[in-house]
Amino acid sequence: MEPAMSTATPGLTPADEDGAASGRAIIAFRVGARWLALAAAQAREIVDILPAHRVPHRRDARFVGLVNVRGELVPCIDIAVVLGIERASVDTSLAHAARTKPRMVLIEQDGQALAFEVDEVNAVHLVTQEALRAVPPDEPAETGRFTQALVDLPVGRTALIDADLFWYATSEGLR
Amino acid sequence: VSGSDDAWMLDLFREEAGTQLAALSDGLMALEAATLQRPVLETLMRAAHSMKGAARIAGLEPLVKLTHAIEDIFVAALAGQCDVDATAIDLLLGMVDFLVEVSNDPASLDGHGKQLPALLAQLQALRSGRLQSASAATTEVPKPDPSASAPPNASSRVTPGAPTAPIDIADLSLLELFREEADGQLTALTDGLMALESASNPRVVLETLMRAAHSLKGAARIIGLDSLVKLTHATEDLFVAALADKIRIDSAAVDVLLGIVDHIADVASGDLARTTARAQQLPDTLQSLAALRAGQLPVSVTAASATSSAAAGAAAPSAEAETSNPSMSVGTAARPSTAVPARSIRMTAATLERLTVLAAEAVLEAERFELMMEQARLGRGPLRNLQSALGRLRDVLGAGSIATPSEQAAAQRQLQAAQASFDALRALQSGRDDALEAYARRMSALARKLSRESLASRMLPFGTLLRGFPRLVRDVSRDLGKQCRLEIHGEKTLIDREILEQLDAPLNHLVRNGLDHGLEMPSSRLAAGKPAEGRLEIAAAHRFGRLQVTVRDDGLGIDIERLRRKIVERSLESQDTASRLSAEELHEFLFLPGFSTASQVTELSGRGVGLDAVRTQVKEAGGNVILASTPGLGTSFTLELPVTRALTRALVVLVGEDRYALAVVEVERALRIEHSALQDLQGRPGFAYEGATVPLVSAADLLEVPGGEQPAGAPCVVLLRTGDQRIGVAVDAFDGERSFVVRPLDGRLGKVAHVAAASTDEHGHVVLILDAAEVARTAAARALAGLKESTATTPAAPTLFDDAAASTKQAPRKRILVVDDSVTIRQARRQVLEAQGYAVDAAVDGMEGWSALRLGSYDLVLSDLDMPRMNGVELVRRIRADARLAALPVVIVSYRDREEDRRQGLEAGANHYLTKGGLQDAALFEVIGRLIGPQAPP
Repeated sequence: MEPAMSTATPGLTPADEDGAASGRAIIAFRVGARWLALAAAQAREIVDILPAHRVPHRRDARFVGLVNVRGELVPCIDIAVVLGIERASVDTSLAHAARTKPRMVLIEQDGQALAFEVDEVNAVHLVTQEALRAVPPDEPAETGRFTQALVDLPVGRTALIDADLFWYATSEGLR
Repeated sequence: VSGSDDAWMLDLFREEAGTQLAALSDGLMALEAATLQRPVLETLMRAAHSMKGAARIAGLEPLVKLTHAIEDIFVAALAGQCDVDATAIDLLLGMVDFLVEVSNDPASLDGHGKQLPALLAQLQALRSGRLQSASAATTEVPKPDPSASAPPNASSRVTPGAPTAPIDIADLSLLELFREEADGQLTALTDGLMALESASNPRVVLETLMRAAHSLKGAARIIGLDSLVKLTHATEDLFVAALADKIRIDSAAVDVLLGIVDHIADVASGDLARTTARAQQLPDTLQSLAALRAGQLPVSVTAASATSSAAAGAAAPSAEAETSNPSMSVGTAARPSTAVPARSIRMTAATLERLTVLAAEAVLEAERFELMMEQARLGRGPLRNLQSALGRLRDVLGAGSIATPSEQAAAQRQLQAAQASFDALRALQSGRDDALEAYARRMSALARKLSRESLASRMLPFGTLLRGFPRLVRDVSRDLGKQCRLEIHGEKTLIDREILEQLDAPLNHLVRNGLDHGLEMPSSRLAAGKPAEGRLEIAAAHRFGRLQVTVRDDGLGIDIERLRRKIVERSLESQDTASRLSAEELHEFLFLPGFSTASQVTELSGRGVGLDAVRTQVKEAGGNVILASTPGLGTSFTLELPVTRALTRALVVLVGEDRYALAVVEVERALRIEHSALQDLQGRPGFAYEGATVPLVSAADLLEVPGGEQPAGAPCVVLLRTGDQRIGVAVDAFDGERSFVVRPLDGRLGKVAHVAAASTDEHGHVVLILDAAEVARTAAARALAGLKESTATTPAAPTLFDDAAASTKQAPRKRILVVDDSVTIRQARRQVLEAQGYAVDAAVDGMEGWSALRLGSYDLVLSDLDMPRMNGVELVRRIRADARLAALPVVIVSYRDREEDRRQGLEAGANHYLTKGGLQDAALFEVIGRLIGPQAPP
């Protein structure tokens, strides 16, 4: 498999490989008004938005359908529904909101891929263990349970998603 | 030379090297098969020469030396001074691999440099004709560093990057070689033995047989299978004696010898059970051979081997099992023995090689495109210059007057600057269009080739399936006391290997059926004026894009009147109706489960497997069975199947924004229905078609997806059929007909009702291929019952997210999470607990259980102790450490009954520790009831 941040994502600042030992690479993206991050190792590639084909009889709101990624049919989920985020709550007055474009993030685990649409992909950041903060009790309940830690990135406070829990919840939605 | 020039040069070299190395690789591949080597050698020499030139320009001196040596070989071969045989080709292909690696990353040359003297030495050996074999070459040369990309020995090309020690590879290939060899020789032996009985010149056949036995003996000796050496030696000896006219190999002897073939096939298969069984039989078998040699035949052995051979008849040819021989397992240790192996297929090395070459070519093309992109970027500088020159020119002109000489000079300067930039751009542009066009042509040709090759790699000739059939026919007809000649046509017809596999059982059955029920006894045949020997024909052909396989006998045919009587006897139809049924309609009854016309159930074909099974099996392969019979002259069964399952021709329809496809063979018609033809069918929609009213069902309703807006024109309807019922499925639009490469739906989705497979069209749209039969069935049921209920075959399992929905119906049910890695236990617990009225979710291990607990809300956890990823103790610890879950009751149920295990579980925080051994449901309910209260059964 290609490194997560291949030439397909020119806008990203690749993580410094030498620093990998002292910290972890995470990829930050925006859903609605919230900044979220996943371990960069989880991300396979970032592509332009692809149309999803609905799957008959499936009405779980978490499951959007199938997308065609260069011939590979990948299940696409609605990350906002999975995490319980209001997508409409995005503040369009955000200075950069107009300049950014929605993208599709492909993640992969055990050879199985999953796609979801985000409003904006920021960058791969290298964060040290010390930079990760525990989740305070006032974290919104819905996203809170998926949040492994909080980290302050240049774009703002970012919730690092618990990958195991996220995969569990999404695969649940596919059945 | 500056750094960037250097890089540019290397890029150019890479491109050139890509072309030349592809030519080298292609040429070498072609050389092996070429009848005329000269033109191929000339191409190869030119490619090596060009490669050398490119390496020289790029200043890659080591590569110059290597390519020079390669070129030298071709020159020498053209001069007849050295021979480029298969071994040499292997070596040279290894060199090409090395060159591909190095030219993609010339910087790696430093690291690879160490290998160079060895490579050159090999080439030198080849040049001077000293290269004996690939293995000899590799022993002369120190083994290259395993991490080096392309060690130039033959085996590394077959198993690239295999992390095994060299000895393993050698053993593995030896074993594989033996199997291949045994496979071929055993077929030769079987064919020869079959031919021996009717051969006009038995000597020729006997010589072939002797050679086959001899070759097998040699192969068995190499891998050290002593038992096979003994057996094949005795067999060979027998043929030698027969050739010397010392003994005669009669039909009984053939039986014994066919038994020997089975014996060898079993041992060669490497299957432990079969090998062990055969080892015990070895003394008897050798004794029977000795008896044959002495000219006497032990009766008991004949009988035994005759029955065993009949049983093994169909299995023997497919004895090329993938399992390894236990006595030779050294080299196969890498093969996981416990894990379920991934589905694997056999493919000829040549096919794989062709695919690999094409794939490599695709990579090269992609790199070429990157280079073109790079060149396109060169235009950005001149473009910017042109823009600013034009801008300044506009400023000058915009100032109003260019009267003064200085103003004119300024305008002139800007104009010249613009012109210069434009010229630069034009120079860059010239040729780029052509290059792009050529690229697009090459790329689409390559893609088509790749697609064709990969589809072709799924195909096998029909004959590969039939290898066991001559034997089957012989054994079965002998057992029945009948005489039969088997004729096979269309052995070379190519069939998808998946469909081929699915054909085996029905074909086997039809052949047995034909021999048993179709053909008459020799005496009856003679009495009916037919030759005593019956004829059975198996033929395969492609017709109208479908595969037709026919099994035809020249026997009795189907006795229509007897069939009619039987139908009435069985009360399947009234006497009156039966008398009016046509022959075709009567034949249909033969395909009913349990309906057999054989007055006595024979062991051969009356084993409860009837024609209904044949039809079911063929339908599973996407086909159909057609029966034709002429009383007194014979019966034929024609199986109609798709040529491949990978490719299907389908009608594309739009439902809402999504595309669905229905296999063309399943669609009766695609219609546009005038509004005037729409009819009311007892309050439900229908339409007039061929004088009847056909019910109409909306595809969007059926599939539970949003439909598009009702089109203004005539509605599009796909006409399907289920049984005798026609049914119309209304879709939003037709989108033509095309071929799809069929792929299974993502396994994570589970079974999706009405969907058979998935694919994509040339525009990149996802297309779901519908199971037309299922759609028709549901649609018909829906239309006839007028029901509007959900058609989902499996009601959606309650998920963690719809607690609310589930609980609105009645008082909230207590939820229990069962965590256990045994599916049986999970299922059993779920059943008994649900019967008690609890809501039950299950998780396969502690990790999944922990995820489920954090997302859902549960009243109690029932957990196993020993589980992968996260065990029960760890799960309990996490629960107790979590603020929200700390008070959640946990019961551990484990096989472990030692006191320390119990203590460990309870100390971690479990409320109860139960042992699985002899655990009564009542005890479990009692504990659960005490912890969270009983639940009224639903």
